[in-house]
Amino acid sequence: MRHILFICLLFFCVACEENKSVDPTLMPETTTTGENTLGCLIDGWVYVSGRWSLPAAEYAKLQDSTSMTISAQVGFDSFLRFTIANPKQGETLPYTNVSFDNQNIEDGKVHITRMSDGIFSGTFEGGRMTKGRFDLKYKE
Amino acid sequence: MKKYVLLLGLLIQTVSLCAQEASIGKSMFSIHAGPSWYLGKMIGITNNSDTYRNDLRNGVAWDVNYYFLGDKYIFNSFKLSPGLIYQGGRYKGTHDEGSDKILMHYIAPQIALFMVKQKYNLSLSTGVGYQYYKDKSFVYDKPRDVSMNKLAYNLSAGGEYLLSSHVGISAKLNWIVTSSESYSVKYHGQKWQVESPELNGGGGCFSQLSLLFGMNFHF
Repeated sequence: MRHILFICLLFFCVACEENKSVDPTLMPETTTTGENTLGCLIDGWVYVSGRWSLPAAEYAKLQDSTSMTISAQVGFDSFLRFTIANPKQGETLPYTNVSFDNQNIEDGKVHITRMSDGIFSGTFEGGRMTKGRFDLKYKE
Repeated sequence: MKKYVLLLGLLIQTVSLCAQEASIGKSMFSIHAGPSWYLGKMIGITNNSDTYRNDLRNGVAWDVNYYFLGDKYIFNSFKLSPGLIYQGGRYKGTHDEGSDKILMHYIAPQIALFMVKQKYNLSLSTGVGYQYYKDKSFVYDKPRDVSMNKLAYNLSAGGEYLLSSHVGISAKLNWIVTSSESYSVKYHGQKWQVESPELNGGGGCFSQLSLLFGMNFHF
């Protein structure tokens, strides 16, 4: 009973947060100004964040390395997440640990166009994912 | 070539002889087609660059009208007539990431004021009706359907030159205006409502201005 109540509450909260001004069928523009956007094609179909929640970039500093994990809700019940090790502006790097709809999918490559002043922007593709782009804010 | 010149000459002669007659009959049916321009906000399209929007604004339109002219004149040469209009419009555009094919169908009852002369008629008409809006678009080769059906109104001005008592050629300027703050989009088996779309800077007013040419039939 408690579980059902929790699921109902979760659905209610998700519904409340829906930003209906975002068209989930159109890719965001390619920007590098921290617009908090993410979009890509998965199997050729557009998946875009922003309607259900804003995408996030989590920066982590370890002893001798850094990483950036990007996570985004790209559908009512679709989530995308991947990690970039040692990200640097201007570099093309692999992204790993890709999860989409609770499934692990192929790794790919990301090109980081900006990583400065708390803004993390780039393009990505690999495997089922193509034409990916993001423009996010992060905290070091 | 001479044959065509002769044929054209005969046609002009026939037309000018026929044009001596005033229209008869109580009803008028007309069909038109011509260029059309999409004015105002473009909502729900697949690309919002100025260049693409400007390309997409040029389209074509067609219409079918019926008016009951009756027998009664007001102020000697005017007739106030009820009628019905259907107008369709199409606007197409393509860009690197997709395409749009906007189809609009407008249907409305009309009230028109005709100035009826021996050889020609002039008319002003207006009405409030319903506009069906579909954008059969593609994004990265995948189909995406936008619909936005709203109340609309129109203002029209037209003129007719009578070729015979039953047939006339006509031109018409028609302006259909509507407004929308939201649209629905079908994509990948799902349907969403988009309200005050942020990519279009919110909703707003848009219209079709059409210059149409065609034929009128009096019966």
